[in-house]
Amino acid sequence: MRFVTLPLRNLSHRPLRSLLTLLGVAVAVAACITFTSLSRGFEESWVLALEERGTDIYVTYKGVVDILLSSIEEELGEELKQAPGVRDVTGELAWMGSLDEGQPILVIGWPIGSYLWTTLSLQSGRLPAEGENDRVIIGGSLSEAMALKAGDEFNLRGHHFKVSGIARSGGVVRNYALVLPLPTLQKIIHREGVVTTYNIHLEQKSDPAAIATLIEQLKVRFPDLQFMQTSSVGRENQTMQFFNGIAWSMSTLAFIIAFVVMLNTLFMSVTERTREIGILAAVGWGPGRIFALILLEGGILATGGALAGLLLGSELFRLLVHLGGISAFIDADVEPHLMILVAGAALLLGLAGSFFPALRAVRMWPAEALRQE
Amino acid sequence: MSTPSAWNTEPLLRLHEVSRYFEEGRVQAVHGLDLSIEAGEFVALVGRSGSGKTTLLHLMAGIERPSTGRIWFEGMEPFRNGAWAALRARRIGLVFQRDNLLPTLNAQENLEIPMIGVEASEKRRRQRAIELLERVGMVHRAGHKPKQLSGGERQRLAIARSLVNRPVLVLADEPTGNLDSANAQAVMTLLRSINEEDGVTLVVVTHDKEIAACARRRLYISDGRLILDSSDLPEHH
Ligand SMILES: Nc1ncnc2c1ncn2[C@@H]1O[C@H](COP(=O)(O)OP(=O)(O)O)[C@@H](O)[C@H]1O
Ligand SMILES: [Mg+2]
Repeated sequence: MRFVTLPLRNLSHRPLRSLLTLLGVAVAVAACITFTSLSRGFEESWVLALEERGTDIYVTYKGVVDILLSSIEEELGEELKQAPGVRDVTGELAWMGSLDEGQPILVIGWPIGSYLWTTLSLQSGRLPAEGENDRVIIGGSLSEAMALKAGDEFNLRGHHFKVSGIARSGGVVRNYALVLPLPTLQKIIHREGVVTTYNIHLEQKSDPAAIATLIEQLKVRFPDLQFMQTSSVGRENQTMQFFNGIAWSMSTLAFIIAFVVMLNTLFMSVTERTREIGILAAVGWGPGRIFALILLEGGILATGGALAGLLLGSELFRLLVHLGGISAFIDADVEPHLMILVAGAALLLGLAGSFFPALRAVRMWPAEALRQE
Repeated sequence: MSTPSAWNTEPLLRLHEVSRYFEEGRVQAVHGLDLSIEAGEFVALVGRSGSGKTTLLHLMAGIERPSTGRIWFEGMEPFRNGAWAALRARRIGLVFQRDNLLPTLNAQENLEIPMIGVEASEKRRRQRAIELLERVGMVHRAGHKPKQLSGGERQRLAIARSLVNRPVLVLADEPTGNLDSANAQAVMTLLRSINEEDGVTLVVVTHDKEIAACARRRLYISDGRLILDSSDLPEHH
């Protein structure tokens, strides 16, 4: 027999209680994994998509919570281009729609001739030429879902389109996006003369400090617009802040509940076993070893809960991504470093939740413990 | 650390004006007790129920803290819980009247518990446990949980457990109190053999006259005080 045999025996002696406690931790971990992955997934696929196309500064209308509702007059593009160090500026109109089967798609409009088109690498077909306003580029995954290839024709919202090319697989956004000339999209969704965002491409790769200075200047000239460095888009955007806020508070709540469950279980088990703890002390187990025993019981529960929660969380996340039809926008795999972080938090919670019960177990003189029934 | 006994003038255990009060002094379980126990002795603590025997035994084992007074073990004065625990791990064995064992562990595992932290080798812990199971005639019960054992078996197991770390002192609180006379006899025979064959110092709390008669020294306790020490009687000299 080893030291760990005893905590394991104690836990398996009350299987239902141990299992429920473990489940409490597992649910907290799973909730944390799911919510955080959702919000982080959106953020990251977005940043990645922006970086891929060489956007250094991303511009939206100030104070919009939903980016798709941002409206900026198309003419502002020319003024933005005048700012020092700016190589190119492209307005972009984005719209979220769905195919007839309900699969959500991201529809993006770019002006013909914009540098953004050149950031798409095609697996087949070609880019639309000047005047080809009914030509679209389709993301790789979407082309498979719609069973379309270059040259095929199809209808969207009562408009007739021809597939000009298929984009090579890349970020999830690009995989499921449909890109078409700006005027066409403006017409389809009745938003003539406006774009949702501007992508600013700088002359040379400037350091973040220099970009920040430029942004300060731009803010003064365009008080109605919000300027974000690509890397901090997630942090500065209100939609993302909202998502992150929800993810954070849900996870915290789940962890607090798990902590209370853990405390309750271990206090109960320490109280019930007061006499046994007295016996351990009577046969020479010092306060340190008894403390370690209770801490280990909490640690085992937390570790089991964390592992179960990681499994549950990543499956739940995968399921949500697929059921919710958001596989177009986020990667269904949970990041490993998030898993480690959350599992670590769960373990810490387990130890914290067993600390006070353990303290109670060693606070008494053994005779006092032995007197309990 | 321990000095060879020939050079050691200190008794194995010494209590000096030890008192233990409960309920803010309203209950005086042990009252100003002076006592020395030498290595190798077999001492019976005798007295009516409520006279303070258990409390005294607990004080001797360091599982109870004295309200006033001082206690030395092998010339050293352990104060803290942890220091006493270390002594119980290696030098002092304890046996209670009942419910001595951990219910989730089997007989052999119960014997191994005190060796965790004392004997590093898991294999040697197991060997020693089996050795003691043999000694108390319970090898065939090694895999049984306390619930599956008889009262007599449980007490023999508790005594075996008190011996696993080869203590110099074993303290037993009414070890036969819950047993029928046949089982009580077996337990007492076992305790005597510990004292006579292994030379372990033995202190047994009992209110059974027969058992008390087995001991070479009897301490009579009443109202928390030592009223008679048989070693003070003339026939002892
Ligand atoms: N924890 C305690 N709180 C209050 N009174 C106690 C406590 N322990 C023992 N006593 C009292 O101290 C006296 C001696 O008890 P004890 O040492 O158990 O006697 P014995 O073992 O001789 O029966 C009794 O009156 C008992 O009620
Ligand atoms: Mg008693």
